[in-house]
Amino acid sequence: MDRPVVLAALRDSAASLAVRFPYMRVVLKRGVFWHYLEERRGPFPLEADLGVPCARFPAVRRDPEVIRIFARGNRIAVEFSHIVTDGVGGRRFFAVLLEDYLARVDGRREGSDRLVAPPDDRTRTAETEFAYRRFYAPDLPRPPRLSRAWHQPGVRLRGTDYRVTTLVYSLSEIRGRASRAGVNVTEYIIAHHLVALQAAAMEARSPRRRRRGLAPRRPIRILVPVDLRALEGSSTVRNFFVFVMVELDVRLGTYEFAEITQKVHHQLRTELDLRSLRRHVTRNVRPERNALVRLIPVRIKDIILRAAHRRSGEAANTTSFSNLMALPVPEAVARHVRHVAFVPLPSAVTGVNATLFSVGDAISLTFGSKLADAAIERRVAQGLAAAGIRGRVITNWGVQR
Amino acid sequence: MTVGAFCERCGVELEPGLETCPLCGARPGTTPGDNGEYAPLPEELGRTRIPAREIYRRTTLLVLVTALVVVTIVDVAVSRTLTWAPIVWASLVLLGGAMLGPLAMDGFARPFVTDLLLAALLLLTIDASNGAVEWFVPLGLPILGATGLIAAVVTLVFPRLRTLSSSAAVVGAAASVCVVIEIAVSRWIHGGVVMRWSWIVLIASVPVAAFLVIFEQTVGHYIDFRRRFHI
Repeated sequence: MDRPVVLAALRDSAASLAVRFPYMRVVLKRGVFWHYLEERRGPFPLEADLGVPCARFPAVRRDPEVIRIFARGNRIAVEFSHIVTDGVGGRRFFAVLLEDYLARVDGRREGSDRLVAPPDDRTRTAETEFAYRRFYAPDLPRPPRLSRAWHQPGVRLRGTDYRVTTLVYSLSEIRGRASRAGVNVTEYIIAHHLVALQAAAMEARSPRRRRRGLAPRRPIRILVPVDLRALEGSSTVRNFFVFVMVELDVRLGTYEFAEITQKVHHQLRTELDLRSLRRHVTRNVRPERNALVRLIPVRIKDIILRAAHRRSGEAANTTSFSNLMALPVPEAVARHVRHVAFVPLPSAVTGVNATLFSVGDAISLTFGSKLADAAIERRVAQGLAAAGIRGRVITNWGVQR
Repeated sequence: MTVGAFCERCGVELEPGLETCPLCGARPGTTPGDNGEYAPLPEELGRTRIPAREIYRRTTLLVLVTALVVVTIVDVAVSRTLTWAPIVWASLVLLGGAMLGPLAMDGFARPFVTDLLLAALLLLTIDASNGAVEWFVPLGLPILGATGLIAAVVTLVFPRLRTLSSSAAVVGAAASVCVVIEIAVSRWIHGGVVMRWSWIVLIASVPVAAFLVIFEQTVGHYIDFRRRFHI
């Protein structure tokens, strides 16, 4: 924000949002066959921001909170568990929170009252829809099985340590560069990310492979979540997205930046096909409809799924890249927001994940890293600097906890 | 807003206060600032409420000590010796313990150490005020101990009960306490166990508790029940 957080106003907003989004004011409960969400009364919890995001989901505690609001200095943060919503649902929640908070700070109560009015039955039904059902088509063939991708080696940060690095740039400047390359902003940044990963993969080769001029053994793949709401006209705040993959097969040789931008552009165009996406959704939903799977007690499901995720959850992708686009707030709100950042979830397997999020003319490229070395972040920043794009860097690393 | 240093190598401006570039580790030179994103925590969220607690603790101590001194002076001035003042001292000490004890401990220990122990001390003081301990050991201590034990069982075994189930547990606990009271009193008066009324309370409590639990499980708990067993 452009000024320090007013805690009293934020606390009031946390209470109001529990009225506006009662189905997000929930705790996670364990049933016999599935986990489920149970609504709670009272405001969303407001806590001090200790600078270590996404690191302490209290899974060991009973009934953990799935949404928490944090404040520190001039920053407001909201931590979402993916159990309750996805990036776009979280973005909507955050936009309403900011708008209501600023209305309260400025003393415009009538504005905030309208904004956080309890949902009527129609809104509630629409916002809590399990929208994947729309896409489910049991007869569709499964998508092709992907091989293991290259993963960045290196020392991982211990315990809950998580380095978050945000690079803030001018959106119009990046948009200009991207359009000159014939791609959009997402594709342009993904291309820079792939250049950095390609360099890292070449550098991480074993001395023997490097001596013989051999490429890395596995391809680089970036997992890109796609919001399905716009495609299907849904206004749910529950999870409603699917992944597509952007691949750079470095086993075939190295690529120049211009080649990579074109590869990214065409791969995303090919993948963003409604019929193809339906196939992915069907694959994801199918196990939930299997009678045998449904009858397995939740504790056994937990063990099986944990083992399955450890073995193959992130095996097929090198990293992930998520673009939340622009924060949907009015201009009057946006001018009080210096920038917004979307912190990806930590993963020791992929090491570094990246996101994009923008407000006004400020676009934030955020890296969440479990790697001790900030090599990927450095290469991407230096790649953008080489293209003439300069920005600001903000990190939680080494700050007061 | 203060402006941070600029790292030419990475093409980024650093947050005010950062000495080295977090990406490449270079030291481009810094300007001190205090308006960064990771500014010091807000007082209200970053610190516990120790000052308010401290004020409460000191005020309570001051009031109790003043009362203690005044009581002693009055007793000595009127009777020329200590007569009733020690009983008031004991009461004041117990009151102080009840008011200040919860500040020093958390969780399960709070109701037991502060309430149970202080209640035992109060009963002992009252019993001993006649010059000898008569009914505290055979009557007061068993009733208090049993009450504490039943309360502990209810708290530990049913820690997460909802409204009606916890009410049912309290009804059952109250009936059990009645049984203990009658046993202790009859042993003190008659020298043996004579059950006259507590069994009626105990039997009457069973359908009441059962009704409360069944009502909650079937009506109040219906949605939760359905979710819990959703396949």
